[in-house]
Formats: sequence, C-alpha cells, structure tokens
Amino acid sequence: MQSTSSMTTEDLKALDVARNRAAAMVKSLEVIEGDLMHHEPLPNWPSLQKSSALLLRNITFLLESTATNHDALQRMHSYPLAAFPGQSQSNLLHQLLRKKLEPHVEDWISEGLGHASKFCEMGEFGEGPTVGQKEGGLDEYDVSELWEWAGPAENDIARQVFTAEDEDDEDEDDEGEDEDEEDEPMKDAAPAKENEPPRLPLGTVLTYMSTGAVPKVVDRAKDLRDQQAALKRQQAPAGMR
Amino acid sequence: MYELLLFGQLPRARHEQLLKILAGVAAMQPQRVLERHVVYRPQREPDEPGSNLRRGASQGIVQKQVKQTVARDLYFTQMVQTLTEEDFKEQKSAAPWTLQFNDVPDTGDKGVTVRMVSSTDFVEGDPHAYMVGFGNKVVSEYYVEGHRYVHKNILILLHRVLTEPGPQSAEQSPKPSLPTFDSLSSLDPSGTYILQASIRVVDNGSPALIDAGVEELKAFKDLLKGCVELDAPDRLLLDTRVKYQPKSFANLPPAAAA
Repeated sequence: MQSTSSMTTEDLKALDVARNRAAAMVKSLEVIEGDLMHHEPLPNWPSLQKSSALLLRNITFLLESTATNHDALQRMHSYPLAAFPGQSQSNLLHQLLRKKLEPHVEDWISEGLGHASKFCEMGEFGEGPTVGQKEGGLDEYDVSELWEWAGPAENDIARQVFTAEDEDDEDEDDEGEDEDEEDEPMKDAAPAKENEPPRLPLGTVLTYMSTGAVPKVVDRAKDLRDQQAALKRQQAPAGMR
Repeated sequence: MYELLLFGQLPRARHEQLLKILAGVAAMQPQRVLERHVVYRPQREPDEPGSNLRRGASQGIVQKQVKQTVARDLYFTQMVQTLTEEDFKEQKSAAPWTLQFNDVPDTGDKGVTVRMVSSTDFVEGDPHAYMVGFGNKVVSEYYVEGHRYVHKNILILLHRVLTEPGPQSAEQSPKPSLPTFDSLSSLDPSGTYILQASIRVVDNGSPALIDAGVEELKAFKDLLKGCVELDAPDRLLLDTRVKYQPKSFANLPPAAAA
C-alpha cells in the first residue's frame, strides 16, 4: 500500500479480521479436502457432518466481517511500491492487482446461478429469464422462507425416522384398517412425544442397581436439551444470512 | 473374577429395532432374562473417615503409633434369583439364589469399566437368614427384565429395571410371594432400556488377559457406533461402598443435643 497514512487503524483492523476469517475458512476447506482424498474408506458421516458445519460457520463469520466492514474494504485499492520485488513475487503481484475473478471461478458462479435461475428469480444477478425458468419463480423472500422452514422440518423428519419404530409396529398388527389412515401414526407420534416423561439418566439407574437407593428425579438430559435448543436459537439468525 | 463393562442407553421406541440388530450381530435369538435382585447393606454404620486416627489420642502421646489401621469399607451386596414367566404366573418361585458382590470399579482409564465381581450360589439353607446372620439388612428389591445375547466372548444384556409400584416400604425380608408381572412398573418413567456389554475374565492376575478383553469390548463398541453409543460410566456411579453420613443435630437424642 502506498500511503499508510490514509489508512486508519479501523481499516487495518477490518483487513486483519477479513484475513483471519479467510485463513480459518481455507484451513477448514483443506481439512475436508484432506479427509476426502486420503481416507481410503470415506470418513464416517458424523465427522463429515462436523467438518461441514465447521466450514459453514467459518464462511458465515467471513461474510459477517466483510459485511460489517463493507465500506472500508470497498475503498481500498492496492498500489505496489517501486520497491516491491515484482520479479520474484510476480504471482502474488498478479493476484493483488487482479480486478476480476479468475476465469474458472467465474465459471463456477455462472454455473451456480444457472442452477438457481431454474427455480427462482435472479434479480440483479441473473441475465434475464433463462431457458429452464418457469413462470412465477421464487423471489428472494420465498427462498429465505423455504430455508427457514426446511432446516427444522428436516430435523423433525430425522427424529421421526429414529423414534417412530413402535408406531410402525402397531401398524402392522392391524393392517386391515390402516389403508386410509396411513398418516395417522405420524400425527399421533408428535403429541405422545411431548407427554412422555423425561429419560432417567443412566447414572441414576446404575446407582439404584448397585445401592438400592431410591433415585431422585434429576433431569439432566432435559437440561442439556434445553441448553442446546437455546444455543441453536442463538445461532439460527447468524446461519440464515 | 474381573468384569469389563460398557453401558449404553436407548429410548423405548428403538427397543424392538435393537433386538433385531443384535440378533443379527450375535447370530442368535434373544434369550429372555428375568431376575429378582434383593439389595442388602450392613446393619452397622460405617465409621467416620479419619476417626481411627483420633481414637485414644490422650493416651497415645507417649506411645508410638505402631500401625494405623484404615477404616474398613462396608459394602452393599445383592441376592439374585433367576426367574421365568411361569414363576410370575404362580406368584412364587423356588429358583435358587445367588449371592453377588460387585467391587468398586478400578481406577485408571482403560476406556471400559473394570471391576472385581464374585458370585456364589446358595446350594441349600435359607439365604436370607444367612445374610441377616452376617449383619446385613434388606434395603430394596427390584426386577431386571430383558434379553441376553452372547457374541464371541461378550455378554450382551439389553434390559430395564422394574420395581413394584407404590412407596418403598421398609421390608425386613424379601417378600415370600412374587407380584404379577403386569403390576411391575419401569424405574425409568420413560421406559428407557439399558444396553450392557460385558466380558468376564478369570482372576489369575494376568494383565494381558484383561487387556485382550478390553480390546474386544472396544471393537464391539466400534461395531455398534451410530446404533447405540456405548460408554464407560463414571466409576463412582457403580460405587457399592456404604457412604458415611454424619448425624444431623435433629436426629441426636435430646440429652446429647442439649
């Protein structure tokens, strides 16, 4: 940068924050790439899920920091000094001076926009209606509404898959009558779940089995669930951006 | 005999599913398990920790303390009776009793719980009279209901604890008759099942044998990963020692309190 005097400490801080966030994001990308490349049987799904959640969080942080420091970052330009070793660091120089995105990055973006334009209006990003687009695509509001609904809905479905086995079994018993009420068990499952008493911690049962002490009902599991739910609520607005 | 243990918990809704999965894993049909457990504790209260050091302090000044005997721990023990469905129908059982003692799990983090256990079958006589004769008293009774599998060297027990409904009455001896099976209710109101995987190792003091058992149990844990999370609970949850409880002032006789 030519004149450091024109840069305030805030600007420097904004740059620094953006750099840190980007570095963190690159690192988690590399971790995922390494996992996928070098593990001969693929890594198991919980670890993949964890690293993708981590990546998503890093991206969210990066977007947040660039959004808050948008003005400062917009103002900045790079002016190489004469003393810059242009011969030995030509790659870095080109990267710094480049105004447009690299061709293959542009290809990615247009590909992504192409997919998106099939079902939603692109507004300022798109190049008019494309071939695949149907009339009355989703606008920005619809898309964000869809995402807000889809996250919790997916969780509900997963929970039903894992916990609704006993309702299924009841189904098989009275097969004759359930043709027209196939959705019934699912509807029943949700309220029954809420009325169900909380699970006793394993430790309480074990203590009871070894000492015969009548266990006090300490609902640690529920506390944990509430805590996680509260955390999720806090993180939700950040994730939607 | 040493026992290596791992525990997991699963909701009632998944019980049927896991029964089938385990049948596939162990390549055998589930074997029904019904057990009646009676928990005994010593009638004597444990000494206050450190009280053996203070005892007789006034005379002990000139004497050298020859040895400091550590206060001996008192332990809960159990009598176990293996029952069948028929026993519950007839509401009485003549099945033999077994005396079970489980030590406090070893310290040291092997990734599985390691504890010493011993079980002795009563061949004849009145087991309850024997227990009382050794200064024990009945604390409580419970029933274990579930299924057992054997997979390689691993005993897999998928079970839950059932208790008789109503308040725990101060029974002096085990009930002579059994309740009906339907009248028993789960200790855990949500009906959660417990999966216990255990290996029993002969006590010949060979650490290599225990390590081999630990490895096999850990392999089983990995096998069930994503299905049931097996874990070694905190060792003090399986503590069978009788805890010292200081007497509160309210319980002291009036003369002593004044």
